[in-house]
Amino acid sequence: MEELVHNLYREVPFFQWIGFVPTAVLVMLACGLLVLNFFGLMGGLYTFFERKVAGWTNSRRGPNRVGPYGLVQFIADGVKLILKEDIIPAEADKNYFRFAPYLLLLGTALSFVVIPFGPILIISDLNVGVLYLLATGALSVVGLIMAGWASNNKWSLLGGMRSAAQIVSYEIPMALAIMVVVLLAGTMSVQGIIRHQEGGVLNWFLFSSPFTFLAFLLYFISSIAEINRTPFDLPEAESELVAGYNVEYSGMRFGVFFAAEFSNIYVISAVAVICFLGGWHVPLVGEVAELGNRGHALGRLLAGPPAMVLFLLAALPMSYLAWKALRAFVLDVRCKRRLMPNRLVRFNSELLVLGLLFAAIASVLALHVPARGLLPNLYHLGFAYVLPFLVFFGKSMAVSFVVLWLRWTVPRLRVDQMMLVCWKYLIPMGFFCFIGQGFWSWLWS
Amino acid sequence: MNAIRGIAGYCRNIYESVTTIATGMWITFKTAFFERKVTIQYPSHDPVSGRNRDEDLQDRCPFPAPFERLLGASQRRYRGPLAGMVSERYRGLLGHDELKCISCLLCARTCPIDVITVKGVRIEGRKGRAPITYVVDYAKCMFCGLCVEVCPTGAVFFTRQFEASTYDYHTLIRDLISPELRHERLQLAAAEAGEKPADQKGNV
Amino acid sequence: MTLVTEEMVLNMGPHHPSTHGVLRFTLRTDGEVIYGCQPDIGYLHRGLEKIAEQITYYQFMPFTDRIDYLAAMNCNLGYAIAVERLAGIEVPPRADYIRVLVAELNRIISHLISVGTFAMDAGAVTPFTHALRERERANDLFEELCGARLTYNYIRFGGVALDLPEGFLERLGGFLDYFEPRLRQFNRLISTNKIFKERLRGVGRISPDQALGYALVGPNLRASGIDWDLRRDEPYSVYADLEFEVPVGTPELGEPGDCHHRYWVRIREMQQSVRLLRQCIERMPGGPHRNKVTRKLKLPPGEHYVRTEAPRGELGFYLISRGEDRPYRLRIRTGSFSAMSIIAALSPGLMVADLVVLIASLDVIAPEVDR
Repeated sequence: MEELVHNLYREVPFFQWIGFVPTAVLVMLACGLLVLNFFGLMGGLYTFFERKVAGWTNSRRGPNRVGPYGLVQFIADGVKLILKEDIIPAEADKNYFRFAPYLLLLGTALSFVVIPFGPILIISDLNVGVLYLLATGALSVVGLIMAGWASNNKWSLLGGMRSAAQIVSYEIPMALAIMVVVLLAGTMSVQGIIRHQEGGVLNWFLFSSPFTFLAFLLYFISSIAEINRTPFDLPEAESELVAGYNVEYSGMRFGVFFAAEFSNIYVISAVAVICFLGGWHVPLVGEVAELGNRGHALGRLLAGPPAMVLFLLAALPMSYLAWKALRAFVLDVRCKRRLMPNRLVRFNSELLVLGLLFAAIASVLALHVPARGLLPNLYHLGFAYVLPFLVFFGKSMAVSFVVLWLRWTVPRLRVDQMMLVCWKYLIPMGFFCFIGQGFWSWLWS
Repeated sequence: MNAIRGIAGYCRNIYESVTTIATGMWITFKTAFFERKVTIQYPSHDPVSGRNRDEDLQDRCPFPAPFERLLGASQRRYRGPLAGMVSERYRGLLGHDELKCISCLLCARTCPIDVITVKGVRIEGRKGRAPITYVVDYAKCMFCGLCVEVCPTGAVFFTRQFEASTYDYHTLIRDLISPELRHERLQLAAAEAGEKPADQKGNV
Repeated sequence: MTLVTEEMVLNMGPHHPSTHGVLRFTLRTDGEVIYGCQPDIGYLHRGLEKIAEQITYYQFMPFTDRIDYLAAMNCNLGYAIAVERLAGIEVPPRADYIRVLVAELNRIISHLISVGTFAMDAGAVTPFTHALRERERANDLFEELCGARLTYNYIRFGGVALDLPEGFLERLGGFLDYFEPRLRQFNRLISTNKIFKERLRGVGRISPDQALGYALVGPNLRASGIDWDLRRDEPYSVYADLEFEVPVGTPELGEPGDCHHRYWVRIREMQQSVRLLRQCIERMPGGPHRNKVTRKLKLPPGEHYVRTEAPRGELGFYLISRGEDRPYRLRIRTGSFSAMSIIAALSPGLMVADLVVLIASLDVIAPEVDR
């Protein structure tokens, strides 16, 4: 963001006319707006994905009535929440009641400042990025306790207290797991951590050593506890506390809680991707390009015609699957519009998703090598901006799918069991990883 | 010794957690992507004929046909009676055959909650009495089937119709005899009795 | 300086996602640990026993469905046997086998709901929907058979209302072939899950003496280690000719009597019911499905108590007749009522989450408690 402000001030006369400080303020407002939009969109979309995944794991479909394949469902939910009556309990502490959801939103939205969507697509690459993420994650505790207390409801209070204990405890294994990564990378800046993982899928921190693998699992589990998801969703245990700390909230106040929780899923998946899964590095394709660029013998070999053939061969099965899926989709659409007689065509919405995914992978594989030769500018544009963004997004979505998937598989832990898991299992394992990684790095240096 | 047992227990806990959770996740993954979804999109699905009203389709495994064979016997063998959605013996709303009914009032007396009200008149050439009103209170009816069982002529029966939701429950108290038939029968009965013909309402 | 603490009085009210039906508990807790629990019942009282005094025996049959609507066939069966014994009515063999068939099928689906809601109360929603998916298949079978999916009103004095439709036994066999692997999959999904086991271990341990003292019946009693099943020990209908095992809580899963045992007894009972069903299918005799019994049935004066094994335990009908066509008094004894009474005794020391699991494990449902 700083370079953007400086560049704008230098290049564009309009901003010179305004002055430096107003430029900075404008840019900050624009970034804030971008963050809030993304936050809202992610929050909403995740409610939709959650319901779809819930449906699929339960042998039923998710919402599929509202828009095409139910995509407009989250907008309909949002509109419904806005139109609801805003009830504040008579005996509740009104100011705290009103303020609590926004603290939660603050905790999540602030994390978006250091999430990198590309080599330069980041709002601010703080050199203590990871520490900043941990800190803002902790901010939500205050909001939860406030919500639980201000609702004037004993069930909410129970939920708020449980949640506070949980979040504060699970920050420790989370921090330990991330410390392992910081140890390897030598820097706390997110872009720095990502740049340390370049050079192929095997260079991801996930595969660096068994200790980092363990650290990934540790981070994953603790972050699920941080965001109050099953198996750690006692604060909002549906069957016991009927939504716990947000039971008295209705309408858009509840919507804010809801969106904040779901965007939080995105944030923790993004952090997992940054620290362990290579960030925005494009697997396979980018690496070959890198190798070719560096003048490596193997790279030159792979970047030549044999590579083209290899990639085309890899693209073939993807294209076949994509063809099958998209063909079924097209036939289905034509069937619905009565252009073809009533034939029994099998289709579902997952097929469309998979088909598009395969088609995307196939096209990237098949086209990138000729593109590099023929359209170098487009190629560099793609690689600098578009592809890393999509890859980062895709990877975070994959990790969040696992978070959503886990919710619908396992039952929830009781309070004391949850504390037991944290203090007696995760924290010792965290220390074990940290020290083990230290030894490992020393051994292989 | 106790320490070793303790550590063994600790490791076994971790191992067991990981394996059982992984097994569970695999099962839900299979259910999510490789199994038929059981949702019946109801309004699009005509409940009596089983026909799809707007060509809505059922979900299926996203992979091409060869993979279906891998799904296993449990997936393929049982086909429930979904076509036609409700079975032949389904206890839907009550139906009444005005020609078979002899107004014996057995159904009204057998009903445990007094849902049926019947009135009949004697007509020449017809066994028993001919019904002129047959009021069923669908709001109270519990579809137990005792009335259908006791009917000697089979005049009361179950249809397969179950969509009867309304906004006003008074519309659920229905007279199953058509007004024309009622009028006709009242005229016949009055003619036989040699009195003045009755008016529409059945008042003599 | 002493810290002033108060007990918190919580109302786990009739409107609650995890009390099974409309039950109400007033809890005194210190935040998380419960000191005392006072159940409050009566929210689903419909006066069934009083209704029985107003209408004839034949007319009361649909109301017996509503005593326990999840296991309606068993309730029908109990009532029919009670009346038949007092009146001395005989049942043809085919009808006897059909009755056992539907009773066992109903046991399977009742237990499916029981374990499904149990898993849901512990936090896992997927097993519940999977259990319901299996239940829907069985409900399709019931719909073919008698036209209803929940309140069947199928059993009559002297037999059953309708004969089996064409090909029903093949379809039932198909359902059983489909169901057994699904039950195994269900076990792999949730029954052996470590988190689930940890939630259930040691919660609400009921010793055999306590179980007998509180008059627990059915799976609750068997899980405490007492080997008592009315189908084997006081056989009625054709249970004497069928072979099946009675699952009892054994020490291999830990000391008997806790929620884990109650859960596993129900799972194993489902497996045994499948076995019973296969035997019924094999041995189904031909013949009439109903003996003619007059509808204006007048029972000779007398009184007796007949009990059968419903999925939730012993379902007893105490029938006093004064020689009319309606009972003078019909008292219905249900298993959930006793199970409800033990909750107050077991709750001190449990956490709120454990209480939810305990209620679910005892398989308490409101219609049985309140009738």
